[in-house]
Amino acid sequence: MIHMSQPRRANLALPRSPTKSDEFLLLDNEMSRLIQRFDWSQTRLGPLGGWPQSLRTAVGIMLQSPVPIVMLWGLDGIMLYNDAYSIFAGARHPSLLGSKVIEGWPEVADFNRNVMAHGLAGKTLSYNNQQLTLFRNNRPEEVWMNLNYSPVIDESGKPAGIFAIVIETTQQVLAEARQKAAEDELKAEHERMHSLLMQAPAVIAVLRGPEHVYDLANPQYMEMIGNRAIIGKPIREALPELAGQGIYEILDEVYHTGKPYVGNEVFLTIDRNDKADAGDMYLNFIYQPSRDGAGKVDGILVHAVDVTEQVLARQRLIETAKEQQHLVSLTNQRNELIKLNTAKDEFISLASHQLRTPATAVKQYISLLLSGYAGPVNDDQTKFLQTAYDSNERQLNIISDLLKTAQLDSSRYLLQKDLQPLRILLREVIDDLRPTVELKQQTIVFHNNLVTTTRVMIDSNEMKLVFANLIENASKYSHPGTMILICLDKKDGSLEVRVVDQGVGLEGKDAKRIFDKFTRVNNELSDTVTGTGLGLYWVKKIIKLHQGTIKVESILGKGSTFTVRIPLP
Amino acid sequence: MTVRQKILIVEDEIILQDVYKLVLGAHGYDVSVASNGLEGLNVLQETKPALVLLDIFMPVMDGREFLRNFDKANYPQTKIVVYTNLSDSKTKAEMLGLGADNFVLKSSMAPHDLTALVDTMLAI
Repeated sequence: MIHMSQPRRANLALPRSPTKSDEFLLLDNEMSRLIQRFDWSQTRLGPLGGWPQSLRTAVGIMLQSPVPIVMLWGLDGIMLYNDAYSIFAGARHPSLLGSKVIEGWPEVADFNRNVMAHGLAGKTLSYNNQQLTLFRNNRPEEVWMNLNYSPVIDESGKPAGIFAIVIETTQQVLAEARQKAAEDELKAEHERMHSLLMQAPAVIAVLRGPEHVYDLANPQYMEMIGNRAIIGKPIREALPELAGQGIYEILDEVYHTGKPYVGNEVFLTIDRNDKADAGDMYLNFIYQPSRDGAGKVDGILVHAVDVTEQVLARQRLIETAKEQQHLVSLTNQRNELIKLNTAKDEFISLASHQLRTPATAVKQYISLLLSGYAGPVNDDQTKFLQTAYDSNERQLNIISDLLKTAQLDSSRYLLQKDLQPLRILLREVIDDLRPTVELKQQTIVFHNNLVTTTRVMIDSNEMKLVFANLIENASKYSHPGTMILICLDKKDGSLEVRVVDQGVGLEGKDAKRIFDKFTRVNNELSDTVTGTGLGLYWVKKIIKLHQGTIKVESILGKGSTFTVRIPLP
Repeated sequence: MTVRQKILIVEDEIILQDVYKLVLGAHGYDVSVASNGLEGLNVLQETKPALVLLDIFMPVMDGREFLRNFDKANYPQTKIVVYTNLSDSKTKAEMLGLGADNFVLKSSMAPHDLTALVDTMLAI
């Protein structure tokens, strides 16, 4: 609580007529009249008539001034002021007149003591926008003032009072403060915006002017462009690699038309100098023009989202879908092929049956003729009939061979496998063929090098066909007096059968193709050997169906060795 | 003179029917013929043969259907030889499974092979 002085009541009881000495008070304003009427004898100033000229002059100047001025006279700082100051004084006017400054303004007594001390010491004081709390209207008021204090020198040449120009600047100060607050708010808003942009999870940059100079780029943006120094540079200089990618042109258009641009999954190649990857990316972005106070476009806000991962993921998904589609179509094709294969197998089976039937009839009737059933047959007739019979037999054999080939080619062909000792099977085949071989004056020798009975999973009918073919071939392509050797061994987890002959052998080029369909090799014995060229094709097929291998080593004129391996179970 | 054994030939191909009948007849068998399975079943009932030579591919009723309709209990003495130009092992297994006693590739058989086969089958 600020102590308030008792307002001094102006003593207006004794109005006096103006004297010559009061001429400085003959002004037509309130304070001139009040000063004239005031009973100054109650103060240290004494009656008006006794005032020194210096005081009179100063008061005269003061009263004529439109600027608020107060005089603090003498050691007490007795206050005299003009009309303009009376307005400043508020409710304290008029009691302030003639009072001591310390008592008149008790709430700022310390301030005024300092003023008094300086002024009476002959010093000036000056304050700009000095803030003080005044109670001039019986309530605290924050006021700002420009204060200028100058000493007034009296007749003795010493400072006798203080001439104070008091200009209240509260309104200006408050207006300035309001403006500053508004500016601060604006700045804070800008900073908030800036920080928002900088912290946003999106890729953001602000471009200024028609050259699109980088004003701001958030960390995501910097990361995207490989942390190059771009701020303050026009985009064409900052990101030269965008030339030809259409971006500069879009920015120019946005700037000139003021229309925002939305880019969807735009593919861009950006040099990311700190990145190992090529900088290929897909971006969703918005170019939003920003405008100045006059509504004119002054920049572009770039807001982008890197959607590379999503786009690539989707592309992968599409690829996968395509692959799946491809797979489905392959499966369909495969099913179609299986159907076709089945149809083919059935066709071949039927065709063989149909072809066999008339040949069967031919066979029966020629046989009857040959047997003399229809009467005696002479030698020539017998010879011709026999030729017809043989030819018919060959045709039947060809039909059977083709059928066998078709069966082995069929994807549906299944072996009837069981565990068998190969030694016994070989022995059977050799025993079957021995008469034929010996008829050609060839010898056949079987070397079983296995110490124990070893079984393998085989289809015995098919496997017999394999070894019968190999041994028959060995015999067919060998001269009389030679030997055919069959060796059975265990090698590298397989049973190995070698069929070795001392025959005509094979040339290198023939050795490569003898397992192909319909291959017949030309050599000195070709003319004496009949066949369709399918035997070794079957052999290889059957061995493969047993997960086995077959190879041939041969020296022309010396003989051949066929080596078959069947994996042990 | 012993009673000639009866043989039924079920074969749709007339020229084969004829030659088999000729050969087997000349060899001393009492041969009857049928051109399909249904006819075959009728003749079977009439003659109760000792042996049937049964083709597979035939119109009206094929060899498979014949075997399915053949009641072994009624003909305990009758042997059935499937006599066909189908040679695949699957068909062979199927026919033997349906009750056939033998499965022979027709085209491999000359007349004397056929008589030898029938003699052997009926001697057992």
